[in-house]
Amino acid sequence: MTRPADLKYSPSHEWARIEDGTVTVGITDHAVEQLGDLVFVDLPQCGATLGRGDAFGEIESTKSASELFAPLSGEIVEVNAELADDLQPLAADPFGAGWMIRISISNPDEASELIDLEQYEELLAKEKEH
Amino acid sequence: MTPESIPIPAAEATLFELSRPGRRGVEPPEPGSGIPELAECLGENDLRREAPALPELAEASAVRHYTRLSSLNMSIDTNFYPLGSCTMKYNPRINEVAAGNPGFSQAHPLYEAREIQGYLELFSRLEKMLAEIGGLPHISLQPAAGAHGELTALMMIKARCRERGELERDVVLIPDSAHGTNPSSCTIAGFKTRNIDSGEDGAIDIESLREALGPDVAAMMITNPNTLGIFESRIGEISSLLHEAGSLLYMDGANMNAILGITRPGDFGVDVMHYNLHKTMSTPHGGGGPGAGPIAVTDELEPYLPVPRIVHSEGGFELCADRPLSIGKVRTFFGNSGILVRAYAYLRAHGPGELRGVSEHAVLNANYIRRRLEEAYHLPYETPCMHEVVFTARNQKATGIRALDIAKRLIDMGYHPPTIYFPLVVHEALMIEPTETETQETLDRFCDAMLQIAREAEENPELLKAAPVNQPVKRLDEVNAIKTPILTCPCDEPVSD
Amino acid sequence: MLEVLGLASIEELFTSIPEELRLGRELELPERASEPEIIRELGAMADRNARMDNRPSFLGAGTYQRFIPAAIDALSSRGEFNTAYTPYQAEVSQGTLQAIMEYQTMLCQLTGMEISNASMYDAGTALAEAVFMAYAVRRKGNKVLVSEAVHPEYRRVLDTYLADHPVEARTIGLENDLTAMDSIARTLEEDGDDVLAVVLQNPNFFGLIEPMENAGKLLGCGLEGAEKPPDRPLLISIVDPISLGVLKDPGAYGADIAIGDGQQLGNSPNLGGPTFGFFTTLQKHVRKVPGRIVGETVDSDGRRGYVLTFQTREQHIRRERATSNICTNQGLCSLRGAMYLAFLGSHGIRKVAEASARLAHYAHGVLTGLEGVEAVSSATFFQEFALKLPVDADAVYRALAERNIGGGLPLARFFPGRNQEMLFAFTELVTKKDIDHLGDELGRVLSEELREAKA
Repeated sequence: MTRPADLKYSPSHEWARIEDGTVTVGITDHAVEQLGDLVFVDLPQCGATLGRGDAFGEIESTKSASELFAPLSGEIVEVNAELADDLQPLAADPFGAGWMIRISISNPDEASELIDLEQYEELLAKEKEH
Repeated sequence: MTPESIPIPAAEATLFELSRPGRRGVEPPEPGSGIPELAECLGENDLRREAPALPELAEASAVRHYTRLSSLNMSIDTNFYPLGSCTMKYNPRINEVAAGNPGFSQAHPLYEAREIQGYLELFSRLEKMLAEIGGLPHISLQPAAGAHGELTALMMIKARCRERGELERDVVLIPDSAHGTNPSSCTIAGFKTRNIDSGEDGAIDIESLREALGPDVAAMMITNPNTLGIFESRIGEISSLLHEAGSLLYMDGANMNAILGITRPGDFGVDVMHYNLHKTMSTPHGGGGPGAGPIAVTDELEPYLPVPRIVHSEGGFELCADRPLSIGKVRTFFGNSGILVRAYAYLRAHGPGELRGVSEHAVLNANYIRRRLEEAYHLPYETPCMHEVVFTARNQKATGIRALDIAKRLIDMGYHPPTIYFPLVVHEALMIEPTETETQETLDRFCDAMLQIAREAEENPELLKAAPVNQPVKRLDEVNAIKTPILTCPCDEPVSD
Repeated sequence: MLEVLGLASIEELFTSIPEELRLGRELELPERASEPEIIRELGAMADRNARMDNRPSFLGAGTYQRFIPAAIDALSSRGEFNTAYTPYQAEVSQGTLQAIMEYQTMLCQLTGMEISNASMYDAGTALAEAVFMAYAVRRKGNKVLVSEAVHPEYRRVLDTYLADHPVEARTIGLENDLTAMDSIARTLEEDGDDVLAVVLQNPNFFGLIEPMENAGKLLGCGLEGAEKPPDRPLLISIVDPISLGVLKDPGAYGADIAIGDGQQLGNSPNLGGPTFGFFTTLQKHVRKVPGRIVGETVDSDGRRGYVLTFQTREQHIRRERATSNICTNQGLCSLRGAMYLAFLGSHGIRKVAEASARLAHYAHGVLTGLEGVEAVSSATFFQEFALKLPVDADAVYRALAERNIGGGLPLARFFPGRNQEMLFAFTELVTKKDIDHLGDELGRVLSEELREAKA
């Protein structure tokens, strides 16, 4: 799967699409692959406020439970409710239909702390060596 | 006999499928005549509308049902069971006979102390023995399991922080190789956890510990030997570092089977530990319990132990609950008393020499397996092992074989698999703990099977992928179990028994 | 073997343990004993314990002596059950897994709840876990209202667990030894948002039947089609599993969590352990449940099989975020519980419950007929009731023991000030004759004690 170059990434394997003061958040194909068979995702309600790095939900496979972290601070304005019933879009299209939440950004400066595709892929290469 | 030629046991119908309306099992005693009818005792509104829909089977049908179910299990009594970290040693029958004495089984927990002098004497002697083995003078037998012992100890550490006005100490350090119960118990006791990395040799990385230590650290939880089967040689330094920082050292006693009579936690700086009597002291695992997780502590922590404490006076044994600093009770009554009786019987069957022999042979057996398998399977750490050895499935990766596949193929060969994917710090871990109660012939046969599997992994990996083939079920769909949860038996069509 | 390892002595296996940390002496333990010696030594200790089975016994208070079908000992002691580990390797543990699945089902039939876990240590820790779960489910409020008629041992365990937890337990007092429902109603009115759960026991510690339906209505548990307020406090019901052979089940009065002690289901008193705690609740809470749960699934050939499921809740996966730290539970005791229910069936469990209630009511008539003896409460009881005696209950307990009768519980052991009250329990194992004998002997003991008191 080719990873979009116009996205920002986090070392905890979230991606962030920043446009018009909001950020759409999901997890990368690498994260999906590492988790294995996905069985459950717990996403928050609209209206909740998150700080950068706060856990906003959890994703589970049969043998793992991982927290999801907000890449930027702000208020949750939209949640991909479809995922609650069916995780197929996440498995099939993590950068598109598998998006999770949309946040109205409260501190745009934080975006500079995220990494770009090249840095993310370097990180993955390092993890693999380990 | 090849694995494929072993007859597959048939699946068993559920109790509900075997049930027939109106059939009677065992009849309870009749109350006789001349006593009030139920309608005179309870009001209409107190009663349930329908009797609970329990299965209805003849006694013989239920006996066969459970006998057949039992035959679907592997157990220590039927198979070599080298499940790492679980110390699946032979469970001597004498323990069962001793605990079955009605003088133990028929005692009510609310009897007065003078009515249970035999029990209190046994508890008191068991406390002394455990204190000597661990080198820590005070024992509480109350915790019901290892995780419960951990929690009890952490609650005591919290109480001590409170007593000393040190509630800012709210962090417990935990090595990345620790059992999951360690961090989980911390949360319940109101602590946060901080991770400590393992070094290249599989032991705690002292630098990582130095960095993590601070005025907010209440304690560190270690397992020694650790879950990689490696003795923490720098334990003296670790305990000094902690004590200098005003923190305590907790030891998870899951691996005590490696060090009985050889070294003692109290002597290497541990302040509090738990025992798993269902591991080290041979009490049966029961398919998931009951166990017992007594804790041992220093003089300093003694005031915080759960109540009641057993005290000996001239008139005999008494129960003392008047202890202002105690954390209270962590379970009802005394603990898993019946398990404590079994552990006592085990310790009586082992004098000092025999108990040391337990650890010597446990360590010898693990190292023997290590030597026999080290060419076929990858060892993640060069450090010599104690009572268990951790391999990985790295050598088998080329043909797409994972630790899980090796484990499942062992089932075909008649062995319970080792622990896999634990400790988490080792990728594709296979953790083998043979225990001292196995003969060399058993170990050799097991090693031969492991070597055969290593060959099969190269030559015929599909064989491993398809395993097991001689059990009542093949690999089970765990995703389906969660996505379409069925958590009670559907009461489908009845079947004949 | 040493040769294969290239070692000259066993000592060389332990070189990773620094010399200065080695014990360097023998442990100070008694020399080993042979099997007959162990049997003799332990037998002598066992003989110094009082027993429930060799005399008429009327002590209960949460632990009861009941009839146990002989087949249970034979089956549960089979090595295939007793010496197996927790069934993580599903293919070689189908026996244990299916037995747990059946256990879960029968516990749900009994309690009227939807799901059950595989067991907890005991009722006390099950209560603590139930409160933690209520906290996780409701995510609001930090007070749990606990009836004073909840078993004091369970309460003590709860208090220990709550010492470092944001939840605070508040006691609801008694009226006529029943929970003061008015007091619950008032608290809910005053700071309902702060209350996350209410804990009641039925029958309560004093053997009395609580108005559970009123509690269910008070908490908006959706009885008789009534609307359930979205974030109402949870109802945690502690139940006596035998009583559910005849008494209304927690599902019928809208409980959210039903727990209790399973000792009575096929387990001897064992000085209070090992027994097991049971934990049942509603399906929608499955991800917050503590401990192991078994589920049904299919294998790669489509055959039915059982696995431990929803494991991501548990400590070995979720670690510091787990719903509970429990790992080893009380597997073999809950297996005995399942066997008990299977051997007795619907008919048998009802019969046991009926016999206990009827014998207790007969005894109530006999004992309250004694001079100076009166019932403490006028409420309906199940199989246990408290009597007020004309003299100190501790003295009576000892005098009865001298007459080879196991007396009831002197209530002052748990409720200071209630020195003359004794809680008597009756199960299907006592007979009408035992009760008449108790009446006679208690009558004699009381008149002797009264005579002594006057003198």
